[in-house]
Order: sequence, then C-alpha cells, then structure tokens
Amino acid sequence: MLHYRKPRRRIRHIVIFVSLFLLLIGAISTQAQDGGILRVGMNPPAVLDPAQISNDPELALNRAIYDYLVEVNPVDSSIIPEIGTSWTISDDGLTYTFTIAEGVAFHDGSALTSADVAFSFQHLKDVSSRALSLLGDYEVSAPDATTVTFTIPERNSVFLYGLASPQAVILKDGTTEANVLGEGDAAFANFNGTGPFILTAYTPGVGGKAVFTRNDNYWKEGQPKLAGMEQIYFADVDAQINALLSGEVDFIFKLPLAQVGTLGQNENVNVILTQTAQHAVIRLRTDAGHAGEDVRVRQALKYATDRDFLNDLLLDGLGTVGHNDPIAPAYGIFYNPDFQDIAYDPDKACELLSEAGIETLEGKLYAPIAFEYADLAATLQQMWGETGCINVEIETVEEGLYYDFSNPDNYFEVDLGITGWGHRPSPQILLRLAYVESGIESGWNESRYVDPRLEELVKQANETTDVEELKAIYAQVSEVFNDTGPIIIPYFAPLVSASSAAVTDLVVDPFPGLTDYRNVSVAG
Amino acid sequence: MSANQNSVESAAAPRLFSGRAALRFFGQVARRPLSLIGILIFVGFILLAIFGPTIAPHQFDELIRGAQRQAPSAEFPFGTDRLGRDVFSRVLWGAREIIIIPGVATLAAVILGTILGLTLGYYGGWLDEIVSRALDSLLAIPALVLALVMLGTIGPSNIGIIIVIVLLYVPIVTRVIRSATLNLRASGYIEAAKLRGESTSYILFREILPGVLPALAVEGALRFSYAIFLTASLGFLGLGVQPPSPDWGRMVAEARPNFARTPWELWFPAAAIAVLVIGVNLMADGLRRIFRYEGQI
Repeated sequence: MLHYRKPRRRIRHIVIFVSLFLLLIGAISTQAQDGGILRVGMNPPAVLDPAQISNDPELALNRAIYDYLVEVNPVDSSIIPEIGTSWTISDDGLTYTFTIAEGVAFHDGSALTSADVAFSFQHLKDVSSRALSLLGDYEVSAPDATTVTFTIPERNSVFLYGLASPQAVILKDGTTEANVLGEGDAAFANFNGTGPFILTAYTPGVGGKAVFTRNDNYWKEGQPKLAGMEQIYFADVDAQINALLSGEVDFIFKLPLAQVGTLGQNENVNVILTQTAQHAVIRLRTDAGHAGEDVRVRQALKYATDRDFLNDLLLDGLGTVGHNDPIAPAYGIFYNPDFQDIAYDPDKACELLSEAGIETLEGKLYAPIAFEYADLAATLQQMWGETGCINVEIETVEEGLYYDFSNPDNYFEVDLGITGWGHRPSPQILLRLAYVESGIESGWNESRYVDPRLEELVKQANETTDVEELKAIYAQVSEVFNDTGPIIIPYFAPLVSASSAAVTDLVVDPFPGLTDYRNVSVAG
Repeated sequence: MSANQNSVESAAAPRLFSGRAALRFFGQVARRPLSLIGILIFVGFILLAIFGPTIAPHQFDELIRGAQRQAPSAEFPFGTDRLGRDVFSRVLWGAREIIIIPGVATLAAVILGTILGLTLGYYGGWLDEIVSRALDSLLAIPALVLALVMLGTIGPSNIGIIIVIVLLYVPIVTRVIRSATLNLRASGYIEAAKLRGESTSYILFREILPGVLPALAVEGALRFSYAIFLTASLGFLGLGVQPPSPDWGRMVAEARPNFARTPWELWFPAAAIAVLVIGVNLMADGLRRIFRYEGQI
C-alpha cells in the first residue's frame, strides 16, 4: 500500500511546488508591471570601467549596476548612508570606521563582505582613479566581516564626498577589470555589482542601448520599483528631444535652457529644473601688474554688474543669484540667504575707479565659446559701458583652446575673463582648489587671489566635518569674498531635464548621470 | 580670306577701356534680366554698406532693455534678438563688414594673382613650373580647413581674415590668369609688340592684361561671392569677428540655439547672406556670358 501512496504524495508535492512557483512568478510579474520600464535617452558612453568614468552616460550605466558606500543628497548636498549604513569619525579626524549593510548580494549571488568594499577602494588607488582628487591619500582595511576602516594622513573635510565619488562603486573582491564584455552566456558576468539593476544586453554607440532588468534580490526593501530600465543612445540633444516627444524615451536629463519654454507647453512632458552649483565666474587677475591688483577695481566691477538683470536676460530668471562667491544656493545646508552682498550701483563703481586713479577702465574680456558665455560677455560690455567708466573689448575663444595651457591666452593667463566651473558636491572642493595660494602653482587659482583671512578659513573648513561649524565658516568666507574677492558670479545655472508625464518620483541629481532611479516608476 | 581677316583683327590689341565697349556692355546687360538683377542686388548691397549705419535706427550693440525677443513689428521691422538688440539695425550694420572684408581681400587677391599669373604665363619655363606646382599644392587643401589653421595661428581678427582670404585666393586667381595668358602669349599682336621692342611690363599690362580682362572680371566676381561665404562661415564658426559684431555669419550662429523662440533672429541675416551671394553669382554668370568667357570657373 505504502508503495502506492508514495507517488501520490510526490505528485501532490509537485503540484504544490508548481503552484507556488506560478504564484511567485505571478507576484514578480505583477510587481514588475507596477513599476514599468524606464527608457532614458542620452549620448553613448565611451568608457565603461567604473574607476575611469567621467561623463553622465558613463555614470548612469554604472549607477544602475552598482551601489556606493555613501551618497550625496541631491537636494541639500548632505551625505547619506548606503552600503555603509553608519560610520564614526575619530576625534583626530583621521580614522573613518564604516559598518557595512547586511544581506547584500552581488548579481552573481555571492554575498557582499567588507573585503569587497576594501578591495573597491584599494582598486581606486591602484589605478589612480580620478576619485582620488577628493579622497587624497588613504589606507583602507577590513578588520572584520562588517567593518571597513579608512585612515588618512591629514584631516580632509571632503573625504566623505570623495567616498561618494561616481567612480567609487562597490566591486566584487578581485574584479581588477570591471565591465569588460565577455563571450556568449558570460557576456555580462563582469558587470557584477550589488546595484538595483542587472545588465542583460548592451549595444554600444549611437543607435545602441543598454538594457537592464530589475535586481529581484536587491537589499533595499521594495526597491527598485521599476521592472527594468533601458538607456538608449542618441547622437545629440536634438535627437533626444525628438525621441521624448515621440514617446521613444521617458526621460532625458541635460537640455538647453531654451527648451524650458518650448517643451513646457507640451502637456505630456514634465520639465524638471534642478538647481546646481554650476556657474561662470567673471574674474580679474590680482597679481602684480594686473588690473585687479587694486581691490577698488575688483569692487568697482562688482558694483557695475546687475546680476539679477543678467539672470533674467540670459537664463530667463531660472538661475539662482547667490553672492559673489562659490557657495551656491544649491548647497542648501551651507548657503546663507540672509547675507547682504554688494548691490548694483554704477555710480559707486565709477567713484571707486576714480579713487583708484582710473578715469576709464579699459581691457579685454575673454570668454570661451560655450553655454551662453559669449552673450554674457556682450551683455557685460554694454552694462559696464553704460557706467561711462568701464570700456571692454570682447574676445571669444573656442572652448578647447581657451582651457588649453599651451595657448598663451588661456583662461589661466588672461587679465579679465569668464571661466565656466562645473557642479561640485561641496563648496570646499572649489575653495581649496581655486581661491588659495597653493592653487596658483597647481593651475587652478586663475585670479591669483590670496587673502590671509580666506587661507585661514579654508584651512579651518578642511579640518571639520561638522555641518554647523562649516556653516559658520562659510558665512565668513562670503564676507571675505564680498570685501576683496576678485570674482563676480552672475548666477548659478539650473540643470534642465524633461520626462514624460508617466514618470513619477524622479529627483534629478545635479550630476544628472548619478540620478537615483530606485524609487522611480513609470505608469503603464 | 576669312582666316586672314581674323588674324588681322587679333593683331590689334584690345584696349583696356573704350566708350563703345562700355555701351555694348550695358546693352548686353539690359538684354539679360538675370544679370541685371544680380548687378542691381550687388549695387544695392554696396549702397547698404555705405548708408546702412546711417539709416539704422539703433546701434548694433545697443541692448534695448525690456525689449528682448520681440517678433517683427512696426517698431522693430526684423524683431529683436535674445538680448534685446534690434535685428534690423544689426543686419544693416553687418552689410558693411560683409562687403568690406571680402571686398578688400578679393581686390588684394585679384591684384596679386593677376601680377603673378601674367608673369608666370608670359615667362613660362622653370620659374613657372616651380611656382605653379607650389600654388597647386596649396589648392589641394580644402579652403575652410586651411583658413581654420591659419586663423588659429594668427588669431581671429578682421586683418587675419583678410590675410587668410588673400592667401587662399591668390593661387586660384593666378592659375586662371596664367592659363589665359598662355593662350594669348603666341598671338600676333604680342609678337608684334615684342618685335617693336616694347618693355616686358608694357607687354604684360598694356597688351596681355586687356586680353585677360574678361577672365579677370568673372574670376573677381566669383571670388568675391566665395569670400563672402567664407567670411560668413568663419563668423559662424566663431573664428571671425568678435561679439557684439553684427557679422551675419556670427548672427546666424548665435541665433541657431534660439531658433525655436526667436526664429526671426536667424531668418534675416541668413536671408541677407543668401541674397547677396545669389546676386553676386548672377552677376558673375552674366559677366561670363557677356564676355563669352569659356574658361574654368
């Protein structure tokens, strides 16, 4: 009898297993349908190796596959935990100890340990990744399975921002060459991250795309909401806009400002403006023999510049006017909106110049041919000309040539020029690059601006990670720039992105390639 | 008999200018409406270059506050651009630059090229071989590429553009004049002048030059229209004149990203370039037909 029962029980077992399996698939597919598939239009990436990536499409590909130890909050520039769920910083500021999230698995099924994290950061050093520009020198170790320790030789207030560098993805221990395409079934074995999406197909170049499917084992509950994502490659922005309008893609992240009005009229499109710290500086050289050597000349140019008018005219008022210093309103936690900086006063400008013994300030204003900078130069020429005491000629230079040190009239050498500065996650990065004495030799301090008060403040800011303390320091930095600074920052430019109306919960990162898609969903 | 007559006629050197020839010329032009249109357009633009800035209601670089991005209207016939500058005034001011820079450059290139071409064609021999091959090698490089390299080296300025155009066009003019001279060299009247013991410069400029004049007129007009295009192209690429210059090429380049919002900012300078180039081309074509110049253009 028993002999007859056994098979029946087996059948029952099989039936139960099969129905459970079907239920599971059903559950997954319902879940998948919920989030939908997000199609993002972008230029094709050139570099896949995460340690060497730099442009947005490259960031976006890696962002989908991998996780980070920590990330920068796109809204207020604070540091938020990721794989590193918590951390402590020793009193001397030289040791950072991270606790690693548990239950995290790579796409190949293996579990994440602290050794993987330590390997990933050692790898950045081994290949001299550009992430080192913020990280500086460090030693990394994994004392136990859930702890990672960094020791640095000197205090570095942007070390956490360095850990959040786009290149600092968490790799599987031993992956010295990540993101190399393999053969046949193993084509994407080397794209082995712990991230929210798994790469399933990749065709490089214009017309190609990267196809991702949801990582069902993702360690964050309920994420990602999307069933999958496609990153579709186009030759240029115009093609991307057309693709968005024709419904071929759901999201494009970097558009010319002029599109705000045009695309905004389309009710199927959401135009998304993200405030960034990207800006142009109008800067004077302050070293001996140059016009800006006299502080009164620097101040006169500030008084002669109506920044609100420039923002209205050139950016349709969509930019943010901060102070004449690199601490942008986009750095929410560090920006002081109450600070009263120098306001537009053309008479005061001429007064200061005549005090300095200058009847008419003559010069040549250099501008790279990029963004709206040539228009900015033409407008400044008129605006300054209206004062009656400032008369500049304009020379526009092809962008590549302008930033090329072999050109004698490069951005670093000219007396008066407009320079574009990209977004950076913390104001400290820019301050310690471009506005301190050591920046002169390293080729970043284009105005040769050296103010002992600023040197001291930047040094203080370098030695703390305390937000309140930094806030107080940056308030004083604004004062120094207002008193003697050699730069005018007309406005901080917004990033313009656009999505179809079906996309929800999308927060664009000021580095658009780093935009987080884990909470995004697309309605059917 | 007729062959004999021909040789007698060709033995008399054509004169540089004559009243009868001028009359015949205008008669020919009047009979060719397209050439007439071309010449009228050309003259019209010359007048614009001279009087445009006087007629223009605004300065080319004046930002009219609160008036940016206005569509064409009675107040602003061509509208205003993204910075609030009057496009009509800018196009008028721009006529001067687009005529003067290519005009001066073409004139210089034609004069230099004619002297070189006459000399090389008349003397021939090893000098001709060496110089002609050297000039040919210059011709092998695309004009715009050569212009970009040269302007990159000497820096963008009006003088720079003129130098570039002269360097680009001297070889072309030389080639045309040289081949025209080669055809005339063996003519009876040149032989006659030689036998009379005339000086070389007399033969070159009094005997041969009038003979190559049709080729020269056509070539000059054509070079001028190409020079306009080249100047506008360089302006478009940002390598020519500097902002806030109302150079038409630059205006087109600057208007391009704003086309969706202020299309008129692009229409008018682009149309001005097109009309001028078409006009000069019609004129050149007319001249070629009138002079029955069958050479290479």
